[in-house]
Amino acid sequence: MELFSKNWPVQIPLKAGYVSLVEGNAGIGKTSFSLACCIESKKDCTYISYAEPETSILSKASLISPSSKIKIVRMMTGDPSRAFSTILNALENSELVVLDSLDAMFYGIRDEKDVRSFLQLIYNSVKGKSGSLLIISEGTSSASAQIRFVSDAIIQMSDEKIMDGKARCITVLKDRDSPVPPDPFYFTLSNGFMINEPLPQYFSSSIKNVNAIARPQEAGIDMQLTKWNRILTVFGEGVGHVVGSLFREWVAADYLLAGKRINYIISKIEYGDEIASNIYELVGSKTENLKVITADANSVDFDPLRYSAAMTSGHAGDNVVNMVDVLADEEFAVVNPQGYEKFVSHITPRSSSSKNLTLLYGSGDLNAAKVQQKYADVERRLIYKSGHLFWKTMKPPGPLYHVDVNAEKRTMTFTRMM
Amino acid sequence: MEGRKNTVAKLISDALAEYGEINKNVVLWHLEHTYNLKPENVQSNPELFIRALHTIFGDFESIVEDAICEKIAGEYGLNYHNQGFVALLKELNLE
Repeated sequence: MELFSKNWPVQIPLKAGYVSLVEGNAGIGKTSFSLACCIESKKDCTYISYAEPETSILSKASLISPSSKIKIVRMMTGDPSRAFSTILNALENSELVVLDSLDAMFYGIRDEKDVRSFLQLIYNSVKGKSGSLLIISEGTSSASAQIRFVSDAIIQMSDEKIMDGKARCITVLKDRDSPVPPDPFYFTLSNGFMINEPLPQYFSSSIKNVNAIARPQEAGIDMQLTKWNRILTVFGEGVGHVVGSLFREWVAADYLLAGKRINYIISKIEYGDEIASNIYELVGSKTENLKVITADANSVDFDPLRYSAAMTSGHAGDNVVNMVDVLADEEFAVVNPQGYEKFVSHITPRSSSSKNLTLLYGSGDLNAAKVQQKYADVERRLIYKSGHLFWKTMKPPGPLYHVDVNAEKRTMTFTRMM
Repeated sequence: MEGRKNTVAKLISDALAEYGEINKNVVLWHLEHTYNLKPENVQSNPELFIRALHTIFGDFESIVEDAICEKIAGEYGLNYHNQGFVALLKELNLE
């Protein structure tokens, strides 16, 4: 297994002889995670359920994999003998056994001595067997505190607040036989159970012939062209040059593939030929619909009218998208802030009949970005956190999305975090 | 003989109870429902009893087995020197 691969969390409970604990608040996805482990396992799976009905479990399992075969055993709280015997027999059969939940099994066992000794009995009964036990804990009993010391692995599921939105995440707190991943894993339940693809910070894959971006509803190409004039995407926490450039260039390629014309405005620190070459590779061929323009406010003496003329020297007419690196304007914004504000306030018409669009990208720390924020119809944020790209429309407020970049499949997919 | 069997059954139960009443109950339940073994008829297949204990307790089986044997040996004044449950029952002529 590749170290800390995307599916690392669902692999941990499958280790032979392992007792794994999955914990988290109600509704976070513990059942779905456990079912994902069952489906990932090449062995049979016995799911012991005290609360959730069989139909509900099977329904969740079928969302993850239509052909899942899981044996569900319903149990009633009370004497844990039958549950224990079921666990033991399934382990002898080399199965993955899911106990849902520890708290239900231990309900009524009040004496701490009994709790600890029964936990130890369960733990010892798993050891040396080729099956493994995954225990779901609701955290409502004394057993749920004590099991943490007895388990071989602890997997915590929680909500993490990101950009005024929430992302479900998995944190591996303990893994006796392996190093613990330093970063959380993010997942969604919208299509069963899916762990999101991380994006390496220094993404070096040269992707060619990309597929159309699977965009969120609010960022559809035609909708944006007709509804908005100026959209600012602020590159926030963790978004470096490599990730930021990849994102911009891929978006440009996406518009080109949709038949739009692009004026791609860059700063003096970038090379136009190189940028054009990158975008042609993403598109799969050269195209006259792309014009790369290097902004140089110094060459027009920081004059707003002359700068405006220079910035509109590319494609004109309908279905034109101006993609602007806000860094390109920074010199102007610093040297002549009033002139820059005048330029920004006049450059893009607030016209509902305009079929043009200006997409601006840059760090929120830039002076130019602060001016652009005042005039943008829409403001979005892109951040890079714990190895993952997150995207959200801040103005007007929209849901949080994870940006999955898959170099092998040549796809960029916006997955709503829910 | 019957009295001796019942005494051994009680001693097995008592030994298991030292690991917790819950543990004793779940172990006896599993022995009965999976192996058709009750404390009263363990002597009819002591080897199966030990294998079952190994399945349940894993590496701790020998500790539990010794605890059972020490109780039985103590009751009947026998010398337990880790000969194991099967051999001990032979000494008691219960096999």
